[in-house]
Amino acid sequence: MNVAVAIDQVHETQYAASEASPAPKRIVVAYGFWIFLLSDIVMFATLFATYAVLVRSTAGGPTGAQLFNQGTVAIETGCLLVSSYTCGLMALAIGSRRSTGTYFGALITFALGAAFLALELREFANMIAIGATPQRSAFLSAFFALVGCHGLHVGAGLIWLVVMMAQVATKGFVPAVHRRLLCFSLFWHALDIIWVGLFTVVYLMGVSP
Amino acid sequence: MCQIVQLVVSIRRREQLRDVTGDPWNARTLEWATASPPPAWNFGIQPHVARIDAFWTSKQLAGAKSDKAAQSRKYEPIEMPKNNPTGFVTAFFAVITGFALIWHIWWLAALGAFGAFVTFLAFAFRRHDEVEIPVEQIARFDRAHQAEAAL
Repeated sequence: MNVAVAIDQVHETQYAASEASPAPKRIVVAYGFWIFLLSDIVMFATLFATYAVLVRSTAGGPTGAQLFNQGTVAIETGCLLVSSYTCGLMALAIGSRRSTGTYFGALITFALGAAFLALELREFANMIAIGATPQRSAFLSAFFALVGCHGLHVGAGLIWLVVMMAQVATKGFVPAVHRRLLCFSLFWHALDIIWVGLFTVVYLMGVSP
Repeated sequence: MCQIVQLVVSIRRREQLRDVTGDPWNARTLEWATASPPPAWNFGIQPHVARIDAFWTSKQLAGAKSDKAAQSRKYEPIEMPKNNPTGFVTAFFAVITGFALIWHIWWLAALGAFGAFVTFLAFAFRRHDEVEIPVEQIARFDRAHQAEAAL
């Protein structure tokens, strides 16, 4: 009994510091979105692992070294990295409620993201044209699943950005719109981080012997 | 077999077995502090948690000072998300898309995805997404359900 009381007292002093009202909505929403991003990263981790296992299983078909064009991939990477920077500039404009700066940042971010997507789709189209389709080999299935999934995320991000700009135009910087823009910014940077991994694992390691 | 018996008995004797206390097992933790059937909100007043099994502690102390506590309660209006059918409608379109993808009906897959997207737009652009529960309603509910009010 005495022990129980002593433990209770320890608990009391320990938890006194965490005694507070519920966290502000901005924090709760960002926390929820982080959990979504982490689940997304877990999904990408499985796709990365699949790719790493299957990268040599070309079934007599083309290998990465024969398919990948380093120049295109370098431009794609540049587009995405710079778009992450302009997304950061947009976040600064949002923070100070400047709508012109927000639209401008969003426009450049969108243009760079769209350029990335266009280059990627052209790369896919070229590969499919020479018979390197997902059905050709396990390597190509894994490649299209991993890179295609990232491309799909970028496409969804572009649609999201357009919707958010429509919301800024119609609703202004109300708290709900502000929170969503914050989440978009997190999403876009996360895609950038995944691309860095993808660029390294797929394209850089793909052409090294 | 046992499960069927259990279902039959549960359904036939549902009136006698229905729990109206919200705490049928004299539980220790706060999720049992709610009424049955529960209100739309969790707690009329944020409970003070100083150690594990806060509900148990509050029940032990309830006899001594619940009257005093009940009088000094200061309610605040609670903001709750409004009920809306977005989840249900999106699931409906997702089923269409899933079915269409399995059977390679591309136009139907696009239609399902488009429907889900329009639902999402309607959700994102609605004007009032929260409802404020007034103080009187919370106070009235707590008075009617003293088990929770003991906290």
